[in-house]
Amino acid sequence: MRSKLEKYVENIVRHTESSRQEKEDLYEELLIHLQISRDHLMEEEGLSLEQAEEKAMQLFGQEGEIGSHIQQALFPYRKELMLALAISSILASISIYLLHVFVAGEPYIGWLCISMLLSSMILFLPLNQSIHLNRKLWLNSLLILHTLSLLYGWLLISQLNHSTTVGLTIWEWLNIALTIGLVYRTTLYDYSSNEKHIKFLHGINITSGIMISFASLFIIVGGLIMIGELHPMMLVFASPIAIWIGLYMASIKLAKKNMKSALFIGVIPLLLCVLILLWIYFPVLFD
Amino acid sequence: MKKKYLVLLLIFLLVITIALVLIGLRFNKTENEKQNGLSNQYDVSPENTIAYVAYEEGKPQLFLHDGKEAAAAVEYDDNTLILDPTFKEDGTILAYITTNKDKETELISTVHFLDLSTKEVSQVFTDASTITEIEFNPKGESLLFLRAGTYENYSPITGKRPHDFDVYEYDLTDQSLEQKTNLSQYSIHSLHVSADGERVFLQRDDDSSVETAEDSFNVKQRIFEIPIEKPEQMSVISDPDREVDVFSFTITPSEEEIIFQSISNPDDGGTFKYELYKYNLTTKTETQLTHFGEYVGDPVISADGQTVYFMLDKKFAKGDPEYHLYRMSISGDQVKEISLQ
Repeated sequence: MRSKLEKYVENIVRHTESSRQEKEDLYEELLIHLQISRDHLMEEEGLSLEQAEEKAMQLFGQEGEIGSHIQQALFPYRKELMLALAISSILASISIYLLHVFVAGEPYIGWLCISMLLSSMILFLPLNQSIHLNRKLWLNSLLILHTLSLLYGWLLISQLNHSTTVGLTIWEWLNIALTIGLVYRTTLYDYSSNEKHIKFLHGINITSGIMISFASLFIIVGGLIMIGELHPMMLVFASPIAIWIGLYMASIKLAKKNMKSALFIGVIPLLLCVLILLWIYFPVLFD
Repeated sequence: MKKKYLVLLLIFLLVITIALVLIGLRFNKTENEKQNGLSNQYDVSPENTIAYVAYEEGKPQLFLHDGKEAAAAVEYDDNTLILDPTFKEDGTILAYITTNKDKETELISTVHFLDLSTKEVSQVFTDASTITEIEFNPKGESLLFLRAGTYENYSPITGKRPHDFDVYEYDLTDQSLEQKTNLSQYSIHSLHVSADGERVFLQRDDDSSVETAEDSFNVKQRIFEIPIEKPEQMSVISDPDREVDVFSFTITPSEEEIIFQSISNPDDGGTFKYELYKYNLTTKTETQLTHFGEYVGDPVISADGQTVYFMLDKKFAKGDPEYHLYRMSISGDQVKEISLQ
């Protein structure tokens, strides 16, 4: 049976978002610190084991507060950034939705519900750190879905003829930039290996992924506007995203065995994107 | 944050979302109800009365504007479109088409006459098709019109639209319908009838030199003259070497000049700008008449051939159109917006 001290340390660790290994190390360090404090209290003040544990915990502080301090030290300003993104996204979604209702008579109820759900999840994660969903994969998945929802919101703004659309567009793109910034931060700093090469590999993969996804979505949405419905051809235009995901996963797996090959695979999509952009904007270079 | 406050926050967001959904349902408009404002469907009588179609909450209204004030002549429900109001050459009758907005369920069009002295509306004929434009035939008691036989997507990369166009004639005396051309055209616009009633002018794809699928990408839209009784003798009357498409047009009463819409900046790479041009059919010279840098089209010429009326869409490529009616002299000056209030 676990002691009160162990349960207390467990509660502190639960309020942080570290990896399993980091949590185990933190648990061990805090427990040793509190056990030393407990032993010292027993020796110096003649307290019983139970009394000494209680006093050691009392001197150390309230679990939630200590956990939040450690969280802030491990991930500085992430809570504030997540809260800012969530609140800003909720307000922007409500504004876009109401504008569409009153200007165009078109309530995008499905999008509103999805947007409010995603924004609320981003709001609740930093407020309730005892939930164990906010790890790299979950957090990035949530942020990517949120980016797609924000992009759809921007499409809705672009359909409107209203004096507020310029302001709303800037607001929506700031939300998109903050979300993408959080994806970089989550992948490169919060949960990544400390190895510089791995960080670089993630960095180039995410950058090429953003470019490829934007290009594919641009063509697919253009097709949807022209045709008015989904078409099998759209799968062809979505395939670059699938290829990019495959190359990303392959390069990260390969990095454990052969970093040079992994970097080579990782840089291919980025190089292709740069070449396509040069071909579009500076065709004379290819004459 | 304490769980109690988290639950309260969750309930607050849920209540806000539900309230927004209810507001959305309350103010939701159907597709038919969304159409509002002036349309580009209009005509000008020999006495310069303007007949135009405007929408309010999706309901089309046909107005008559005598130069001072406008009066609503007819109104239909929000599932109906009013197309191509057209004055008879003596200005006594206004013909117009009504057709259903929802073409997925059925194709149906009705041609009506509005007697301008009694303001009475009569139904001329109904056809299971989309009739897009109508003209009186000055030669006799008949109407010539553009009829689209199908409503489908010919290309997998476009939505459904009226296709399979041809010119038809409706004899008002024996109430019979006759197909006058065998074009089965992808699209036809701007039907006009010559003063002698023996030829029609229209805008369509110049696909005469198409032999391969690749050729079809180079097809230009031009203006054609078609003898009604010998449609196989069809000929291009707009500049046959013009590299930029010609869209809506009108022909002067003397049939010496055509006023047409085309793109003024085809190679800019930005949003296309549509302007009006004048082309002399004898001298083969072309003059640009308007310089708005926006979307100008749908020209109509006055009976004396001295005034050109046209529509300017001030929200072109920015969502739903916002049409404004203008007029100018045949030489392109004295441009003035017409207030339809």
